[in-house]
Amino acid sequence: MTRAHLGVALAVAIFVAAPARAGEGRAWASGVFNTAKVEASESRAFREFAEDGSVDVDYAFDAGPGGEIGIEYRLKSGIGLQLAAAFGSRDGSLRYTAAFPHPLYLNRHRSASGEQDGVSLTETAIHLDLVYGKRGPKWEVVGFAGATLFNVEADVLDRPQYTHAYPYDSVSVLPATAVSRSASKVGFNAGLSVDYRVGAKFGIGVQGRFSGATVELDTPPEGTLEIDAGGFALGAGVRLYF
Amino acid sequence: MQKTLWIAIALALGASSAQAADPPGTRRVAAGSGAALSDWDFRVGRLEAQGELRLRQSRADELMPGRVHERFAQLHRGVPVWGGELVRQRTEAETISVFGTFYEGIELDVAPKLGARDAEAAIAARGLVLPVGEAPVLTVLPRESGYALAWRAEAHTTGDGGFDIRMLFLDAISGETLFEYSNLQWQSAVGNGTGVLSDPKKMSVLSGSGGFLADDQLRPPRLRTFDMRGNLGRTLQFLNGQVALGQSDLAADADNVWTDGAVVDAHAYAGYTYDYLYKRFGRRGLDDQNGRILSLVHPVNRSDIFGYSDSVISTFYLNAFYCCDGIMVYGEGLPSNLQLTTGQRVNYWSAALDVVAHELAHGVTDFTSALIYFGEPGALNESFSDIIAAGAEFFHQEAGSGLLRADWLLAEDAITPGGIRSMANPAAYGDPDHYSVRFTGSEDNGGVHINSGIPNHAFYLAIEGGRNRVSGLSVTGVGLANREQVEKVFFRAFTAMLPPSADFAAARAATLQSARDLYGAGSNVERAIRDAWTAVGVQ
Ligand SMILES: [Zn+2]
Repeated sequence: MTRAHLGVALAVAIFVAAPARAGEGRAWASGVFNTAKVEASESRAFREFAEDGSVDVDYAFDAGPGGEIGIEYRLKSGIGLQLAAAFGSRDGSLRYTAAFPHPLYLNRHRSASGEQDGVSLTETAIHLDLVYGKRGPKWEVVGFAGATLFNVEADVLDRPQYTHAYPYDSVSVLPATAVSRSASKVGFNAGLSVDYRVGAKFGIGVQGRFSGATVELDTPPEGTLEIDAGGFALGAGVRLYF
Repeated sequence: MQKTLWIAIALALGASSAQAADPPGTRRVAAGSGAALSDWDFRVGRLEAQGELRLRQSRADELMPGRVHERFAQLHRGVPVWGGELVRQRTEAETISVFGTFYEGIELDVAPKLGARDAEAAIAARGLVLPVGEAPVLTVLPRESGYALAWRAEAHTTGDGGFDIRMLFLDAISGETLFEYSNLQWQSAVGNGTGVLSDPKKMSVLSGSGGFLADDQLRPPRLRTFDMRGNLGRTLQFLNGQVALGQSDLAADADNVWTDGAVVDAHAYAGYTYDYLYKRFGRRGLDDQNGRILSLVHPVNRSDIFGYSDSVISTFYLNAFYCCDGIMVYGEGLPSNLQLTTGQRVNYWSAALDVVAHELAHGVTDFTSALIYFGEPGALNESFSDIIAAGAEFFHQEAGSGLLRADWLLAEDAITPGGIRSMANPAAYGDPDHYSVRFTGSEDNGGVHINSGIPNHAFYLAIEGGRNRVSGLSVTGVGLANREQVEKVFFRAFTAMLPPSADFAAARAATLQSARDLYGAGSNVERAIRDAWTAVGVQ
């Protein structure tokens, strides 16, 4: 589903029921599944033996679990604000190919590659959204959209280490190691939740939220890795009304 | 990455290599447990109380919280003892270890006859300077025979003789130098260089706080390039064994961007040739034991040419040569307003990879067949150098014509245009290409650089094929792509099979034997080499 399709679906969903009343609110806690795989790549340049070398790295992080808590307050009939904090974690792997300058000859780079499994990507997101809800006796549908502050922490490839010996025409790379890097960025989010009340104060609900921002991580020694944070997350959990 | 790549090599170049052996009473302490530990722990406390140890540093252990390392310098009657120090590791509650060296039983009067001013004067008299704020320090110097009271100072060399930091110990009684060493820390570095023909290459050098020196630390042999700075007298003294060249003679560069093409090419091409010999033939340098490879450039100044005799001009301007014992000398070439009678210009001789490889190959011959440098063995000696020269050129450069291209000309990158010999067509340079037209005079050691044209042409025909001008015989060569086979055959025959007095017929027989050994009787290689020798009239 593209972002445009999602927007249309939200718009349709929002207007199917009566609005909730001002002064009311709800809080929730959900288990979340981040459905999007995250793929990213970077190219680094470095200087060694009086010549430029390069490292190209591809990262792939799987879909993964997370959680979200939030609170929502209706300013007037149907319209309100919500604040939510979400957390998600993904496992992944990285692969790299490198061209190391030859110590004795120009333009005779030694190529090498490596990979590492077991790297992870964690995201925390703070969503501040405008909401519009429609409510029936048992059901409530809430659409929301707004800004998101992402913080992404990812394992990125450390400088590849190698050994070599005369005549230096090849290198033996040591196992790849990763270092943790983090960065923050403001992005957006939009979504829809459907609650079912099981009492005056309690309910259960499901929600879908699409969020996104491109976060730039500094990689060693002087590279940059752009990661598309967020994606589509499905959640289900409990609701508390006030 | 830094750790694995930048192999720090601490070198004390040109320095006394070892301190005197331990004097009597030297205690090397390594106490980690038991009675020794409690004994030394106790002694540290007592010696400190007695003023024989002084806590000079106390540092918390960054890796083990709660541990502290204390360094105690040894004093004798208040004078520091050089190298005497105990290091105690402790927690708040107990001592974990004591390591160090302690000199026991020092009997030495600590009143110097010479003052610090006298020591400073002695240092200045040696042409050394003390950095601002540095002063000689009275020190007890442990020596094999006992202890000496000395003024210790870290002084710098001055002038253009290169940079060094000398740690000096001057006898505080007599003023003589008791001990000294270079305290300059060096490590391998790679720089950028521009050759004579404006071509970029890498320079494998030595880096220190004083700049960069043309001393290759990455290849196995001692591969160094000396800049004689036009000092012919010193060059001759060195070649005659009257002086040794030191660190200050090495070609140097302040920023590791090397712009003296003669230095860059001599240094880089010596490395290229070493690499070719190693990769192609598995040979480790000239002597196969990674013996030294020393290149001398700028033995004279171009502008001084009119002050020199013909023999100096022909040797140090118009020539490059292998002297002996791993030493190559590259001629300076001619000022740009002068040219040879052929109309050719003469550049720095190191500008040509084949010239450098040629000279180094003389070293290989020296350490192997030692072909006598006269007559036919002399021509084979020369030919082997040309063969290695061409081999190195094709190994490192793209085939083609013109500058910096691999071809069958010799020295074409230094003597322009055209170089000095051709293996493809020796006659074009007045050299014989067939045994029947060989030179039989006595000049040039019986024509060593002339008759080399005959085996040179045989080598060429075995690879490239073609028709001999004199005999009219045609040869089907193995092809340039397969030149490695012929190179290996000739290398093996010339270095392992020929005696010093070998003539051309012996070279034919040895190369054919070598071809059969390596590639089998009746192989293409054997046939090509046999046909080639036959075509040039060597049976
Ligand atoms: Zn020669």
